[in-house]
Amino acid sequence: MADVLFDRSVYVGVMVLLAIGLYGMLAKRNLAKKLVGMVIFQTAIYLFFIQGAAQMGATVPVIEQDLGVDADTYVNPLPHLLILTALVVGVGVLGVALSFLLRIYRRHGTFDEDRIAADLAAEEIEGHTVDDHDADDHDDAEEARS
Amino acid sequence: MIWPLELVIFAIMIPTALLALWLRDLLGSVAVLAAYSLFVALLFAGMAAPDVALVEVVIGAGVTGLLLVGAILLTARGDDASEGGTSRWVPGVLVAGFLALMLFGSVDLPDYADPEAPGHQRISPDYIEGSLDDTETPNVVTSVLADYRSFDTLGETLVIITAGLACLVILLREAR
Repeated sequence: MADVLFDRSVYVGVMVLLAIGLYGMLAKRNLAKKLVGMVIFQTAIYLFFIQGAAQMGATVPVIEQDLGVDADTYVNPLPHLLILTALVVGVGVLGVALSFLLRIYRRHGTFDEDRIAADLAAEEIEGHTVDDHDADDHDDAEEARS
Repeated sequence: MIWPLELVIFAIMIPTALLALWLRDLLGSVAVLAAYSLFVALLFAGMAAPDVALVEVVIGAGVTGLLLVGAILLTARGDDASEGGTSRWVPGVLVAGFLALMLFGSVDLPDYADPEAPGHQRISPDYIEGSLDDTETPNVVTSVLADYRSFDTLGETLVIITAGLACLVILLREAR
């Protein structure tokens, strides 16, 4: 019985972490907090793959002369490779997200989703009033027109 | 009987993840997130994936933390976003539904560490058995990464270059 509980509890742990990450991305109003949620979500997916590679009675996938080359002796190396790739790509995603975050902060001065939305709505109502923040974009619009 | 190790680490990790989301100080949140990544690395090592554990320590805890800390130091440290309001329970309900769906979906998956799981039956034994003869590399993860599936790695490098260029474009265009 304890074994049955344990066999499934790793899945439960992974799914709970996925849910926590998703909750962070959906419910947190702070954009930086959403990124923290995204990192948690990514990590849970890595965990899901790595636990799928594990095998009872198998060891690290480095061939040892004494152990021979029997496939049952070593855990499955393929998910490890996939997750190595995914880890590095995950940092790429985070880097792009952070550079967007920097731009948003410089333009709106906050990470708060609600305030950014209010800010954007106000700009829309005023028509294109140019303050020094979006002078840049205004120039582009003029260039496009001419 | 080393099995419950995973459960202990999960029991630490879930509160750590919640704490990282709950903290109002963003720098503190990032520090807790780095600790969370270290626990994940511990779990990877416990699941016989030392390569992934090392990369998770360097990239998950190190580079991710560094990027986030840098971005927060350049901007605002406090999280003064308003919580609550009418839409607070909507994400909660959505996430609860998601969790129920995922748990339901995981019922048919093979048991943890089952040697007979379908994922272990097809190509992976060939990698393990052929690694020494084909590539003379005892570390099977290395030989799969750089030899059997090197196109994956090439694609990954392309993604990284694209991400780097995208960062440059986004940040430089603003500085103009």
